[in-house]
Amino acid sequence: MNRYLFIAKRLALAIPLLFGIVLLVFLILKVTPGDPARLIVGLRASEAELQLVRDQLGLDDPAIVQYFRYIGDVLTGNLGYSFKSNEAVTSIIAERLPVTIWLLGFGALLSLAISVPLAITSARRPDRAFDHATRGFGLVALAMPSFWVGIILILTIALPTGWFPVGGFGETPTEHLRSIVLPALTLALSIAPLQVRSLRASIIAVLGAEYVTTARSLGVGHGRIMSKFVLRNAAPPTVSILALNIGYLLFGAVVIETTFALPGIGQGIVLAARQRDIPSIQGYTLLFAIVVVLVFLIADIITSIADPRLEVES
Amino acid sequence: MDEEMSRTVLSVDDLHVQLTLGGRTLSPVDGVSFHVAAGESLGIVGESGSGKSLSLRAVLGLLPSGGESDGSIRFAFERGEISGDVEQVRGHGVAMVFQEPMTALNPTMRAGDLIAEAVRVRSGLSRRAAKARVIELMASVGIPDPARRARMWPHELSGGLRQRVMIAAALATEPELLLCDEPTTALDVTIQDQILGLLRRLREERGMSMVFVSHDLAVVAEVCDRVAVMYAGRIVETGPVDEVLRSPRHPYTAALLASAPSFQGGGGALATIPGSPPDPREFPSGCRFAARCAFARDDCRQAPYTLAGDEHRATACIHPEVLMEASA
Amino acid sequence: MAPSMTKALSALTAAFVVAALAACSPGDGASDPADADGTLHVARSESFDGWDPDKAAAYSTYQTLQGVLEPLLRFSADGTEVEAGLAKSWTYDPAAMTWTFVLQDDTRFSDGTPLTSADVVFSAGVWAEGSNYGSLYEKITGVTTPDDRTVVFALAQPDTTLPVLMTWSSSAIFPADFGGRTKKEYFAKPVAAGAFTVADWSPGGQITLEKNPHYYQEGRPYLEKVVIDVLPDATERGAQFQAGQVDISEYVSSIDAKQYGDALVALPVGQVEHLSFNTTRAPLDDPQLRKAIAYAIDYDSITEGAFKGYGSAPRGIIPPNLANWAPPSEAPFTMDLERAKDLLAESADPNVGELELIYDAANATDHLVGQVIKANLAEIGIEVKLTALETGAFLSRAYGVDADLVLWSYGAVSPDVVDPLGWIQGTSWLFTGFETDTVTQQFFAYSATESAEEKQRIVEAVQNEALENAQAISLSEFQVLHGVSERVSGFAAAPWGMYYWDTIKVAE
Repeated sequence: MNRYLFIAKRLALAIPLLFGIVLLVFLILKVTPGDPARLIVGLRASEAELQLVRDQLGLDDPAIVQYFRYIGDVLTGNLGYSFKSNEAVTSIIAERLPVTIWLLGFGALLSLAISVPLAITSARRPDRAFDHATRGFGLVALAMPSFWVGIILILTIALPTGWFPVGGFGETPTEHLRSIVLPALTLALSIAPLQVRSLRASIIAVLGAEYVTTARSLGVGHGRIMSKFVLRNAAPPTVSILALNIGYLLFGAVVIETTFALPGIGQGIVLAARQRDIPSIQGYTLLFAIVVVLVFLIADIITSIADPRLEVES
Repeated sequence: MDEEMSRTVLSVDDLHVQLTLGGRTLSPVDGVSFHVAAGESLGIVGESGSGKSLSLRAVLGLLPSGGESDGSIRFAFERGEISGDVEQVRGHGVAMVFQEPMTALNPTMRAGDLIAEAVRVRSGLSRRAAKARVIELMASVGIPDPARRARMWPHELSGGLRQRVMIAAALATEPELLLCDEPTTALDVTIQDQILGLLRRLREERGMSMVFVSHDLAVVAEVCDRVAVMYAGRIVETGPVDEVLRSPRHPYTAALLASAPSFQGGGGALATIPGSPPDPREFPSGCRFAARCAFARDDCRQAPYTLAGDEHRATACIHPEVLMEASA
Repeated sequence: MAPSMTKALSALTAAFVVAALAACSPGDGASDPADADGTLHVARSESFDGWDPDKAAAYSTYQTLQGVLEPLLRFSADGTEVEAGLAKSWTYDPAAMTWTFVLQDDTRFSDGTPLTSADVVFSAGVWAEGSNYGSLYEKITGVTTPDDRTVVFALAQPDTTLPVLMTWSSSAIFPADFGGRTKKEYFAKPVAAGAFTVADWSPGGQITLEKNPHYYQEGRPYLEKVVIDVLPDATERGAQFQAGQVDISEYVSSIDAKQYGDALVALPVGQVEHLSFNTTRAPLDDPQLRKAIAYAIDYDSITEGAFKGYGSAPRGIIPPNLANWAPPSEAPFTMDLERAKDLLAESADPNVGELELIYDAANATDHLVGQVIKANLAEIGIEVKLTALETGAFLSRAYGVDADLVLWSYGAVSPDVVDPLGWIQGTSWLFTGFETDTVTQQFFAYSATESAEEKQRIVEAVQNEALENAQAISLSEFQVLHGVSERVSGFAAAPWGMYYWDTIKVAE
């Protein structure tokens, strides 16, 4: 029962946060120069036509009025219509969302596949050759911007071998899988170093804990010690870090999708920004904000489940 | 006291433990030897810092990082002799019970699951069979309502129950030798008595040998047959527990007795041992207790360390007669 | 290592990679079955503005529109002539001020319904209503249809340039009454008479066009499909081109040209990069100062450095390689620092201070050009502040004529000089705020006369006046670049970059 109350409370706190974020985006868009009406109507249109469009879209209404109109729409599930294409923003987002989910999902999986073994091996022999090599590699990987890594992968793997397409998402699930390998790898490489560092540190801390000594004294095998005694206790801080990095992950999605021409949310928001397509920009931002808040919430829940000592406040 | 059986379950000879901390190397255990016979319970007594816990951990190779041990450690179980590779004996003949049950139990494992892990070490039972065995073990260490308690997390159990869980886990490996590192120190007195009683009972039922480390003479007196007194990394006196307590042959033992509340005749003020144990980074040469010893002689400060006596009774003091005269 | 956990992860990754590899065909990057039967893959960086021609603002949109919504006439491959299209002939009656167009014998929309003069009349009504381009059609006072195949446009004044306007994608021919649909429905998926039909599209996403079975040109188009992708990232576009996933990479920036090697097609120069001065206020209301600046600029540096040699020294403000183009009779501006300093000293106020130069941040070449100008003007003691603006903001300020210097480029979209003349007129003389009465008169005179010599004389006059007034100066005449794969044959693009997909074939 405690746990459900906890979730409800956190969700309740999230709502004002979301309002605030939407307000911020709204204000930023209002303040930046450039008349969206001009871009909708075209370069040669007359002042009269510009004004017509502005009236239609309510662009001349006071900011407060526009803001509350938007909030009202959002609450009824209407995120507006794209200035550029007149398509409903909700359907634009729905079309692009799966691609980004593929990217983030496989990227996260790959990052774990890379970071967990590296962290375990480094932690068991700290400050030896392997550990130093891993740390060095991690530093280099962290320093490389993801668009550069992406381009390098394209130039050194995709182009010469032809195993993977150089960009795009394909039509069938098999093509999707092929197309997502390099982008997911790029994403994984950008977050793996942080995970390795965090996991390595918490594994080392846990390895020195009394209960690990107990397990060893009982003669429990290395493997089981690692999985049941060490990782279970070392994981929560890393999960937290992964979650806290969700903002960075989403940003990474933007960069990587543009580099690999993946038609996901990231590419969508870049295009919308270039075209000053305000409803789309607001829609994407709202989505990002919701995702981040949700991820934080889920991470808290996972951490509290994983560590039964954490009492959930009632 | 029973006759000793001819088999020595554990032989520790000339054990040295070195700790390297921040570039400095200390020797908190400096040439310790003791033997435990089959079915026997040996107590190791000393102040904190005497090296008693480290000695015990060295037996199973469980030293903290930066620690290395040196010396001969041999086991002789019913099924065969083992020396050298401590990894083989863990859970296969020897088990250990730790001092602080809260930190010694994995917070992310239910009580029953931990014991089940130990059961599995001993015998690759199926999950269901292991589960039954777990309940059995928990009952045998006196945990009421074991089925329910097995599903609880360590932080949901009281200190006494946690200790029983740890003991149950240790027993699950069916050890012939049980090492106990101050298992009751962190518990309050009533619980302490219960655990001690449990340990005694288990020893009788299973014929287990035991090494019991403590700073509390009274506790050792209750559960042990023999005692070894440690000071500053060395064993200073050994012998059957009631003999040592009745007539100690080392000034340190005598001082311990004098300062222990349960051994005072009624009424008298508690004496404390003046001074404090020597800094392990700079052990003095000669007898390490000399600086605090009421009976020290000039040659004590140059006396090399020897444990004089026999298997039955020994002392490191080169002038035990002085002490015996004083307490006569 | 923890066997259970690490094994699970490794197994998962291995399965993932194996599945991905297994899904690929050995070694071949672009082995889509569709390619085998004539699919052309096109990539560009601008997203599509939608099917309503009135909303079109980018070359790439015009290009796409004319493939589906073909207008009455077409432009020739070299971009200097108007050619027959849906209309097979067009005749001018100067006395009556009418243009008579005759449609081809058998014209249909892609759904099979016949295309007749009635559809042309309807379309003319739609053109005139357009908020963006509508004013261009004001000269048409009435449209009549003597018969099914004939359309007569009545004009407000003599105008020889109507055929040129009829090649524009804004002059698309729609089915009368939008075929019974609302305008919005129609433009969601238009049915028209171009070489291709719309199979699938999404703005900012992929567009798929399919062959129009009822196209009026026999045997054409050769292609079964055209797939158009928006790839804003130039490196990605280059990579996809190299991998064979893209056959034509349109409007390649000179900076990225290297990626295409021999596959790069550089069209004859047709774009003018111009620097526009704000003539409405000090200090640039002084022509001496403007000329001083014009002589301070290193034109070679701009052509070589910013356009990487894909261009040539400027001759005048009007883009070349169009019908009736003529050079100025006066010498164009060249770099002459001494002269520049002299002119500056003679100007009304030689202490110029700082000038602000605005340009479109999305344009990488303009960024380079700006740097050159800044360095050049520093030589004569004028400080330049470069302000890169996001496109919308840039256009706002440019149209508002509220910056000192504006840097941009322009070209034609049809084969006649009348096109740039109209643009100059419509943008307050290329964003300078200079009076447009003169050029408007010249525009009308040009349209009215039938004599080619007279037209060229007018053009020459415009060019000379631009040199005398120096309200805007040409910095370079540069080439449009396309990356065209060797699979492609029949590619013929006009200098401004547009081409028809119905002339193209792809090799297997």
